[in-house]
Amino acid sequence: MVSDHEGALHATNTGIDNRKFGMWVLIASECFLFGTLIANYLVNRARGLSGPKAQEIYEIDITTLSTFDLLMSSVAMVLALHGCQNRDVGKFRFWTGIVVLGGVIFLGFQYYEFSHFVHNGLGLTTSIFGSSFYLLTGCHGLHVLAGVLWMSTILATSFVRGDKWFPDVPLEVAGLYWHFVDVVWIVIFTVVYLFVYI
Amino acid sequence: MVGQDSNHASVRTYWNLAGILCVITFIEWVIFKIEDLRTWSAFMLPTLIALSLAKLIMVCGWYMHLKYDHKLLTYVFGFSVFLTMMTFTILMLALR
Amino acid sequence: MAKNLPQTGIISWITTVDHKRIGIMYAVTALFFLLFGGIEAILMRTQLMVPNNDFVTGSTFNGLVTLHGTTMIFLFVMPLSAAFFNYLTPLMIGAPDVAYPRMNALSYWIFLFGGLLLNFSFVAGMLPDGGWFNYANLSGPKYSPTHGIDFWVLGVQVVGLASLIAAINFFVTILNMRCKGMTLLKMPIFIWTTLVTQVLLILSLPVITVALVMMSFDRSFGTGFFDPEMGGQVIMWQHLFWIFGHPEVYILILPAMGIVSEILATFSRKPLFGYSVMVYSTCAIGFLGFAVWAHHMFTTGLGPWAQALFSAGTMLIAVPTGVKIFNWISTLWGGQISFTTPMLFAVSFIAMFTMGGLSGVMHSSPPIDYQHQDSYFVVAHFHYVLYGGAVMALFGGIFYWFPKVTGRFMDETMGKIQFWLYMVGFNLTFFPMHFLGIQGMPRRIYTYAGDQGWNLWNLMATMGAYITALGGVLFFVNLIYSCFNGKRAGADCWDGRTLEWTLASPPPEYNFAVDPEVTQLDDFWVRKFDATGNRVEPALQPEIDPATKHLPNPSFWPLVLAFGILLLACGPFFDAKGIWLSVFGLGVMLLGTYGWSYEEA
Repeated sequence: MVSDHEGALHATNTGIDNRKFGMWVLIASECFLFGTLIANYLVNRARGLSGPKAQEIYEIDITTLSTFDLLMSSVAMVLALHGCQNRDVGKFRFWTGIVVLGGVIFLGFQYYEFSHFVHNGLGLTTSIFGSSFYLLTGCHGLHVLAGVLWMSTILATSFVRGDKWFPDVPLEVAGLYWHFVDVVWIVIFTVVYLFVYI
Repeated sequence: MVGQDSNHASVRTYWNLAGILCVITFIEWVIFKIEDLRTWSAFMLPTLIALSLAKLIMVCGWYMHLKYDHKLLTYVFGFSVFLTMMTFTILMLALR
Repeated sequence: MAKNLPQTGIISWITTVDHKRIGIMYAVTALFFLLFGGIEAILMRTQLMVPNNDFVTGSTFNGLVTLHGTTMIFLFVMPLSAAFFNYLTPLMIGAPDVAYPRMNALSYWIFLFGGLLLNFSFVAGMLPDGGWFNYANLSGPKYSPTHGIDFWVLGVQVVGLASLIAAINFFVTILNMRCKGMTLLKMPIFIWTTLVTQVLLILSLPVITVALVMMSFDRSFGTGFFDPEMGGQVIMWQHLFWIFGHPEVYILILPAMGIVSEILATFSRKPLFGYSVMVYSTCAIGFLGFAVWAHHMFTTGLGPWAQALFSAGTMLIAVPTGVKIFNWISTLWGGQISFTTPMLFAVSFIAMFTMGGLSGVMHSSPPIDYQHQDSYFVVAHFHYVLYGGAVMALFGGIFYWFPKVTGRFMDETMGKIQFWLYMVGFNLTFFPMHFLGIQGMPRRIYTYAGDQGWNLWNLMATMGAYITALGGVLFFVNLIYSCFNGKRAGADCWDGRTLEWTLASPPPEYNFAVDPEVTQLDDFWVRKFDATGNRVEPALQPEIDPATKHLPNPSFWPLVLAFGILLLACGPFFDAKGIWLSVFGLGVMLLGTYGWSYEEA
């Protein structure tokens, strides 16, 4: 989206593009964001005074499927970048579309899970467990949504700007963001869902 | 252009890793499902942590390209992960 | 579109992406908020001048004490430090600009809107009154049902975002855009303290972001993160706040320490003593700062292990700090000292900060801290480090770099009078507070009985505040006077050591005509001497035709995006209907983001 020449305008001391470096620094910051949310969840997961408990309400099958989905969207992301870097506009667009699809499916799973939980008596304000769960997974979901918007914009821009537009660095930066969102989910899947009996 | 790194994983590597990631996730699901293992949290906990760590390293190292990039990026990310874990371990212990 | 924006006039300031202009805007805005913080202090001290006073009500006093602390920290010290980061970082590392010029402008506008939001509480007549640290559950929905607290929660959230965005910018700028030959250990010490400060911001701000969201949710949506009746814990707020709050105090002091180091070296005509030790100490302080937060919570019943470990960590962090004090003294020792106004501020920093550090290390012992906690002894401690320390250093920095920014010196006579008014006023106010604390006067009380033995100290403290206020007025007079009538300053007006002194005063928009090349620390200074130690002409930057330099285009999208963020933050004030305001704000943010992305930079 930003013209590629801008980032390359000044040679950098480290050899790392400014935009790519900046995304990694943002990722470092977000480790603390999700670290706080995960720690808060771990402290509070068994402290709910009413409403369903984690062991009663989590559905590991659906959650595992959504984990597969997000992992596969990460694969699509590297393939989209690979297509872009090898100047294959068809592959670039196709795999970017798959990333968007993967993200949308994940959000669909989240919507299903949340509405299912609410239906079974766990709302945002039901208990500290519920609040902590929704804050953590909701925050992650918002990050996925932002990523879906970002990738959709790149895809749309590709169609508008034609088949000679190959945004190597912006796409790589978007990819880093997307992968990080996947990495956070890997941690959440383990610590929230897989550890529910531990 | 393609990037300042000297090396690049191939598309085949990406697909191989994808396969491994799926298999690990499947194994995690299986471990979870087995009733008897749930009472063996001494086995479950470190195993699941190790499996997730493997997934993390694969995504960060290859998909996020850390393995091929300037080491500084690994240090920036690694330092944050380390400090996060240190801080929140202390927090959770203090709240016990 | 961006290329057709005007180059002069108010629009050029609103759309600027020039780090120097943004630095000036930060400084002007910070000084504006200093007036607010200062008046809040004067009102409090007037109320406390005599026992059983009724100058302000208790309720108003609580609002004043909350806003004074919040304003001075988030709207004065941090933005004034940011002004220095903005103006000086590219100049000191020999760079043409920061890594992300538009994001730089965005940070400023978000900060301005956040500061205005916080102070809108005066207009709304609903002051936040939970203290600058806003402890749960006093600040929760049950005990603070009106919107006062929300001004604090959302104001701090917004200005925090500004700091985070700026921190990413400066971190990447420093690591990626240094001129040829400037390896990390050849950077000016101010750049090192700036770098570590950005790391602290990047890693600690997310923690308070989460805490503020939790508090907003408790207040607006009925969650119970800090409500025991719902299973939450009141103490969780304290932990999360201080995990941010302790690195925050290093964020406040490190830039000031960097400024002091630069000024001392220049006006002693000696290099900073032990440069690499100073660098390692700065890094150590930054790292250890994440492991000591619960020393603010010694009286909450943490248990013996936690008490002991946090106490040990706190004592440990005094070591690199103490090392710095010795290095500053050693820098002065044997130097050719000239006591200009900036030098007076820098030298006073050493003494005042040491005093604050001594009272601080006293609190590091939990049994002693049980006596100090919530007493005026703590108020004395943090004002010595923050005011005697950070603020004095920042004023020194203003006097030091004002000639570079404006091409004119500030008036030395007025500056020296102001300095002494500050020193006398500050010490008269805060030294007696050590006694007040030991004699049992609690913090945050709006009045006191006349038979406690506190009357004389309180009267003295208030007199000191009025003397300080006089100094403050003189400062603003000096500032305005000097802008128009100050003695003209050339490029290297202080016989400096670092690269900003190679540029004209004020510098050209493009910064460096010729990219600098350095081969050692204090390269500019070293090149002023030939092999036999005689003076040679300083190597200043030449004049060139500005048209040959490419500059990033101005843009109004940062302003749009910042405005969207403000609207998003205003939603919670309108209860149920507020969600639409926030959604509209999100829409404006989206518009701003897209406009920015598609604009030609």
